[in-house]
Amino acid sequence: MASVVHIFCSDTARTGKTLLARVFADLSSLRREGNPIIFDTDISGNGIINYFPEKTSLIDLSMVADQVRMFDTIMQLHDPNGPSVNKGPGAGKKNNQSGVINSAAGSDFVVDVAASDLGRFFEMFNDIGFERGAAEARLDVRIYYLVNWSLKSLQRTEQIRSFLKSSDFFAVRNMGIQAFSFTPAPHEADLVPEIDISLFLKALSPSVFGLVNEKEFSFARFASGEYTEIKTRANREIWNFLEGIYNQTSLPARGSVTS
Amino acid sequence: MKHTLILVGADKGGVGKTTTSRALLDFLARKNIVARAFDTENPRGTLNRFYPQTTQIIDLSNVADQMQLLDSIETAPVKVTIVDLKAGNLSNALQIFDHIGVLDAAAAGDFNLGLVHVVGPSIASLDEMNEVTSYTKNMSYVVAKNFINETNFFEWDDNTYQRYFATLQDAKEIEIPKLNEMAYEQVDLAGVTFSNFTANRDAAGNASDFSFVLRGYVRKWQRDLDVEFENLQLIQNLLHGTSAEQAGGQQRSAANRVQTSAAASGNAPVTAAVRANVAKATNGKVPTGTAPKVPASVKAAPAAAAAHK
Repeated sequence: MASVVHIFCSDTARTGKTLLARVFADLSSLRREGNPIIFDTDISGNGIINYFPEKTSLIDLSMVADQVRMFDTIMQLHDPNGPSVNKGPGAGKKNNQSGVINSAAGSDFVVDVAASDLGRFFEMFNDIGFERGAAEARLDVRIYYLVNWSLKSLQRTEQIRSFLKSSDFFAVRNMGIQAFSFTPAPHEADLVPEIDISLFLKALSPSVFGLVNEKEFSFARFASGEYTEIKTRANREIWNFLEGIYNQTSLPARGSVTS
Repeated sequence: MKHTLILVGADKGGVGKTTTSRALLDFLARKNIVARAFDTENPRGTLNRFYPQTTQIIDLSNVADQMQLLDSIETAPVKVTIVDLKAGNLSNALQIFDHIGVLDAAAAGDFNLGLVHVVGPSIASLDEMNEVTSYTKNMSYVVAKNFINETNFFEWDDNTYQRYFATLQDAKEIEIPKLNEMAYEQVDLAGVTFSNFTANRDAAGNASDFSFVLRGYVRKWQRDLDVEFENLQLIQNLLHGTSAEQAGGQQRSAANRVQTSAAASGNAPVTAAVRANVAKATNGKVPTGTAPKVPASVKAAPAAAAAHK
């Protein structure tokens, strides 16, 4: 099965990006032992690394050595000659902050892009020709863009969607944040792009939201039935949440990560 | 096609002169334009390290080496010559070329001559431009602002720069975009051409394992640089031919054959003019045994053409 790179991004902080990334990381871990390899560009350490410290590498996108470490690791695992460490500085090195990057061939990848890194990430994505390289390596790239309901965010969403060629793009609306109430001013009406939301995240009740945000909580362990103590109502709510994501992101033609 | 001689130089060291030469050779190669190069960083040329097959190291102060460069211009099958001038040697080199009649020959239309003057952000670099203008009347003069070495051109007061630049008649300006330091360093360490690096090939052409990210950065840099080079008339002529050449190509081909034969026999007009001037400059002491190293293939070409007839 082809490896998948799941990229989670938004132009705004606190849109549920890391929550969604965690779901995919956990579901991916059920597919294959050691899965996935996770990169977190939030170098403050407040991102997904809190939930997967053993599998996550912190990436400072302002450092080329870190860019090399992330993208080259991804590309190397698709090298037909094997997952050897390349000669680029920093590539394949151990991550002192978060342990050793799992370099098993065939892994999936989760990239949690901090909102403040959005521009830099996609500039680099374009500059280094990552999409083309990934397509050549038959590596599926899926980009999940958490849309904030504002003109600026909608325009940014459209901007990023429009320059992608071979990647799958999911505009994600998190129903758990903000009211669905963006109304453009009359002079802005023509400026609002039409965004086809392809993934709606169901809103979680405050208590369940608090539960799943605990550092110890794992969607993988939940799906495996390990949390027997969770009450039925909360249990159903989390299942609904996960099934909603599953049903909206299954791409049978490409082989979904959740298949 | 008329031969094109492109000099790449600077009076100031460390401004990215050899990188510019490498970039130019790389650009031409990607456009399927075969070029040869001379590296005047004698005895150990940097350009030669990246292009050992096409680069000869010469000492421009040596008459024999001058002849090696110039005498084969008309006879060489390769129609583009890049000369990477040693750091601090631009004015001196132009003086030499002027003295031995190269500039006059170019002015007479015997070949195309271009100068890519790589400049840094100092006033010294601006002064350099003033110094070379007396030589650049009949050549394509290109001022290349190089951002390769983290150069910060804001150090220049733009008004000052524009005042200097305005005095340069028919000068063109290009910017060598900044290449990420790590990518630059890796290409340098690998000792390969930029294109080999992006193609993930070592110097021998074998598959290598250069960083995907760094290759991507070099590829982007090449794309940006292509735009700059393609803006130059000198380069456009190489890519598409001059309009005059395009119009009169057929009529001239016959004349060219005659001229090629003359060149092969050592009597080419440029060669003769330069020889005469070299003799004048050296008080007649043209060293013996300094016959240009014309490749065997060139010498064979007229014979082959004759046989074909």
